[in-house]
Amino acid sequence: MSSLLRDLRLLGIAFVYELRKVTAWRAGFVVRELMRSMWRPLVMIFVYRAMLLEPDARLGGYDFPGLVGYLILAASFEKLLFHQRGLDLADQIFQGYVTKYLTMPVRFFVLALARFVQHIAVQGFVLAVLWILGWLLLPQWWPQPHSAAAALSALTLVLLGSYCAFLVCFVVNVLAFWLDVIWTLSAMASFVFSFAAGVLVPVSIMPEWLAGTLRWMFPYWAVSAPVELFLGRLDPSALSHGVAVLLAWIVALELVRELAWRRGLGRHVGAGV
Amino acid sequence: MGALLHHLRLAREFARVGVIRKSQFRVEFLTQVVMDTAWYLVHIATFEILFAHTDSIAGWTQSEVRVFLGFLFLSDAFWMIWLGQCWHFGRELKDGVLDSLRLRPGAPVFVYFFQRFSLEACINGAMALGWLLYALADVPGALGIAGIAKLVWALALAFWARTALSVLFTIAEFRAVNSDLSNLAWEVSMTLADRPMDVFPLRMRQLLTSLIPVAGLSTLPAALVLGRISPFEGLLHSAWIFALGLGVFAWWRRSFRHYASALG
Repeated sequence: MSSLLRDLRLLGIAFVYELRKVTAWRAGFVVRELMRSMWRPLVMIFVYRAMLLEPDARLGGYDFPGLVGYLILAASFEKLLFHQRGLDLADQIFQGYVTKYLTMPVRFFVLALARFVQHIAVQGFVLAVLWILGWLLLPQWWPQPHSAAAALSALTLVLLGSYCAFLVCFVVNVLAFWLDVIWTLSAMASFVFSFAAGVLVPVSIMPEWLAGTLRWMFPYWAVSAPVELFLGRLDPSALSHGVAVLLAWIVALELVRELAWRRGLGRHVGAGV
Repeated sequence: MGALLHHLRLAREFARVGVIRKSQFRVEFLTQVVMDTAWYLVHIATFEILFAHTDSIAGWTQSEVRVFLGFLFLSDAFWMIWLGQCWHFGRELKDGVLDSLRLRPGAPVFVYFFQRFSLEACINGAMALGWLLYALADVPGALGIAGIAKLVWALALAFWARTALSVLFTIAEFRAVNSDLSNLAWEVSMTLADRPMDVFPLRMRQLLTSLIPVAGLSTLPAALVLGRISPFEGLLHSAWIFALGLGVFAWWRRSFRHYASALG
């Protein structure tokens, strides 16, 4: 119990420092945090516009305003998902200065977890501002939640999905104990995640064999499913299915994280790779 | 002619060093090949899924978009093979580590931007070329003598546009040190280049064809080979992008004169 309290206290302190660090430089904050994950959905709006020129044209059950709403929501939810830039653990391992954290009487993972909490806090604030502006300036395009429960269900799935993404980032970073450079793996994970999550193309309009496979993966439940729950296109009972899939992924990823970290430390000599 | 041979010798030396460096990072070699393959597959899958619901996107048919993607992949491979160093420009400018460029073993633009040869990207380039040839097999006459000549022209245009844009975006770093603006501009323009320019409204298309010639990366080369634009129109675009590239290089050289080692 006392170690849990100590971890929580450390998490609070580390969170405040992470927050101060990320907001210290305003131009960088705007470039890196505010605009992140906005461009591709924006470009995709033009693609869908070109495909759905006729007023009654539809794409897999979506009309053009429906797809705009989907993309706005997908971009918003993607902002809440933890991303590789949020962790520099691989650099610390590669250059050997992760050692200084290991000599402290704290669990290293709590420091990384503070990055996750900071990410959710910052992006949550950015999203709140964005959504207020969207509702005020573009009310005809901005998506409305099907119900308060639908919005809450969507948010629950996104937060669980974001934790899955954080664990994947951590594991990929820990691979630096074995590999020299992991940025390629990070980038690859990002492409595949984005596609599997249905950030640009709703999973529900993909071929059934592909959509069926993606429904077992956590990215789908982190973006595409929450969007469709929010819009009322997915039955509310899907929430329990989604939570079950995400929790199973979290358990599996936690085990992998623990194993990889322990094995990696076993190889670490504190002098960089 | 002598200067050209000198720079080709420099490029050969960069390639030699790049191959030696890569022999030290074998796993990265493999992961980078796999990463780019994943990037190709995601793009192909996205369009194949969209074309399961429609016959054309902004006038581009499925087989035309496949050609478009071929140029996108090949110009990206060119960038990865030769121009990967530009990604680090902002940081290196801030840290003041560009002094060696002052020694001028060649044109500073060439020496800086072409210094990081990537062997693994050559594998991806071969894959991208395979995809482009597969896509062109569906286009009548594209693989005849005239078609091959147009293909070479289109590839030269795509590679030149990549180089010009890479250099253009880094100029922002001279004005706003450590702003990350060049990488941001690169990410945005690559996102725009991922789709045929015809999906955008007229004004935006004009901007992306003229002042910031993102269309030169894949849309214009594909349009030229597919006959969506006439050779004369292609010539005008090529001449403009060539001239713009020369202007950009001169602008970069002038900006570099203000560089001091302690800039950061």
